[in-house]
Amino acid sequence: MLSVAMLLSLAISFFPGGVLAQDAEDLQNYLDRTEELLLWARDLVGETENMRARRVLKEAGDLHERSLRLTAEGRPLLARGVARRARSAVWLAVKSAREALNFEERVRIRAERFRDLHGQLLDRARDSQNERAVELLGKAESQAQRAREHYLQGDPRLAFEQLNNAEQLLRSARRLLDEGGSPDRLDQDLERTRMLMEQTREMLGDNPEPSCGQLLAEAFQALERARENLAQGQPVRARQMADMARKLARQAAEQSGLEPGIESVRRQIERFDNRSALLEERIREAESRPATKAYQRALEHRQRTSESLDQGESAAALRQIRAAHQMLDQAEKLIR
Amino acid sequence: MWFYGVRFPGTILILAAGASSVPSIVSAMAEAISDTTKSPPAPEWSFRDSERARWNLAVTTGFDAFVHTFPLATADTTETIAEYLAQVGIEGHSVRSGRHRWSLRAESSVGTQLFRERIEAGYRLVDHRRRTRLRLDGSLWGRQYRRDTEYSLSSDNLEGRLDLRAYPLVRSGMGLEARGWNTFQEYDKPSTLETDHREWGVGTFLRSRGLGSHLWNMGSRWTARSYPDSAQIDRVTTGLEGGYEYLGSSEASLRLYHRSDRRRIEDETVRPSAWIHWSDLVAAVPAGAGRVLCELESEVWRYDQEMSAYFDSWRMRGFGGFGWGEILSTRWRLGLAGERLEAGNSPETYSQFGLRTGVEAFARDVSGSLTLELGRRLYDFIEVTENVNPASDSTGAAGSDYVFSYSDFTYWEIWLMGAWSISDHFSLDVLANYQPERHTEAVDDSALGFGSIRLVWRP
Repeated sequence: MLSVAMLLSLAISFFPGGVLAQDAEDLQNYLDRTEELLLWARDLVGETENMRARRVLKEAGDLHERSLRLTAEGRPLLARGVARRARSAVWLAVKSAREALNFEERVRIRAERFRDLHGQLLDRARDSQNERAVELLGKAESQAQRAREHYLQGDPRLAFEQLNNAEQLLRSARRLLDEGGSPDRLDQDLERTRMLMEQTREMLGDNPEPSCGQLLAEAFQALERARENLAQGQPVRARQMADMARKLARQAAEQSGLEPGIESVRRQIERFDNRSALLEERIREAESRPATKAYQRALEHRQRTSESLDQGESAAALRQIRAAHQMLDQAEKLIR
Repeated sequence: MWFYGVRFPGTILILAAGASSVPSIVSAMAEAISDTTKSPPAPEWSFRDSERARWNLAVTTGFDAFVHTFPLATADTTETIAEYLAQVGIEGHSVRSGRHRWSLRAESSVGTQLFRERIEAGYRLVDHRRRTRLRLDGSLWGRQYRRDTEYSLSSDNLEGRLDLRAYPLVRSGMGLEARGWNTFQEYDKPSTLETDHREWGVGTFLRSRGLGSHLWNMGSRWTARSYPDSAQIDRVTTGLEGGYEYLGSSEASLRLYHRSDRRRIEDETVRPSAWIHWSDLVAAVPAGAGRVLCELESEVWRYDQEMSAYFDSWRMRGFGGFGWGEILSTRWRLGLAGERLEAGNSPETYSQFGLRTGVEAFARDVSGSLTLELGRRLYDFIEVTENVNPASDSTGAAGSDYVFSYSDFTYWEIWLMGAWSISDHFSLDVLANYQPERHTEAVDDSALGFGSIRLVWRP
């Protein structure tokens, strides 16, 4: 203990007074500069709405005040340590503010783009009755609103990440709309394709030209593959095969070069009348206004079919009887 | 019950907020809409499909939590905001048959942090060929913070938006849209951090129509935003944008988008004016049993005058990989993600690389998406000694100013979204993400997390 004290007194005796004065001056310069930087940082942080930068800057100010007090109390070593921490805090506040401003700017333009894209996709999803996509878009919007709340809270980093969540959901909805469609919708598409092909078969009659018959047979094979694909969880391939089936059926009809046969329309009228007779009772029992309305519209189309046939317009008659069958389908669905 | 008066150009809307008042607002608006569309009977309140309208009611309860760990000057801190909430929402729209189509949405929620209300209404006029010719959409959002909220800014606020769109020219292959909009944000007790603002904008857009493989659009917009209590940062933005989309039948697709904005600030000594350019490219090419995927995004900021907080930058983000599987069963993707921020001599300049993998599925009862990414960010300038404050000299004790720098870090990110239809009336939704960063300087370590769970009942 004694030797340590002797060494210390020896060291102090060898320190020239100028060196100590130099240390004090350096410390004062350091503190003055920190003061300047604090003022500068205050302007910068004031630009942002970021709470973290403000908190850190407040801490920096407190540390600086403490270093000034320690200096005034004649405790330069402690003062120097605290002053260094104050300086680090200033830079951390500046860093946070720069980062926050960057995120603020980006959140603004991304939010605007999100709104546009969301609106477009929502229209698409509603028009195509893709409920799954509508749901995803609803979730995306809810995330975007949370992002907005974080933005208003002066936390643009969190807002940015939350907006990223919303964009991810938007991308999923978009992929769903582009590539999948809902399973129900695909089922409906395949059913419509089958109806179209049945109508084509009726139009071609019992003895079609061999080439047309071959095309139609291939169309039915394609539709069968589409069903298999859907069952195997391959909706994109299912949709492609259904497209091909429709195309082949259309080619068969075009190649036949025949106007829709009156006989074919009559067969469909007969089929409609049978279906309609079976359905009438069920609709009455269900007391469903929408179903009744759809059924009445189906009968109106049936009536127009007869009128068109009387005027010798077989193409118009075929359109009317197709519409009649579709309205009957709708009515049946509504009471199911 | 709280009342807000909201001023839109030429109209006055009153939003009455509060759980008890929501049904009355909804009935009032439903009646109003019923009047405007001249529909004899009002929409049925059975929450089922009716002849003229479809209504969906949803009652939701859930929990949200945000966690943010970051360094402060003296110690690390973890901010957590957790909120339980219950929400009632109703959504309705007209069936797709008449010329006058409308939609309405009203929501109200009670949370442990704040109350939220939302009302949205839309009207569409379609012609005899079912093409939209006029569209009007309005929305209002109200937020009231609880007294003991954990949020640091707690002034109640209301924001709204009104969009009017007209389609004067609609051909079979394309359509012209003219749009005007107005938005506002109002605080109950404005402060330096809670500032009211207004925005007006107009735009024209030309878009391809139909269901072809090639879709395109182009447009221009002009926006003026004003801050009544801080007019120096009022701004006018003029922008041009364009996009192209190709969707091939063989799963090939290409999507391009570009937007350039010129933003002029009222007082350029406070905030500099800037050019902003944003471009996107997303492509998929069939290859073997799957698809090669490519995504690129570019974001350029060019300020008229760089300031200490506003610096020129060019950010590029990309992903390249392979995807396989079907979206309605299970779809996988694996690839490399990269990001580069080019900001000259600014310490923010960095490069980032990561390995990303993901799976998503949208089946009938269960659907979800999971993405994982692991990577590293490397900053170009580990230590910078440039003086960022030219107005003052560098006579600190160390001889020159030590300017901040960023430390490299390794990150991983998990993103999860799941939805489970428990029955015809109940569903469970989960959303979560977590992003921790491990820095070479341990004091810079940070983590960001979010989790949300919702139980939804639809009668």
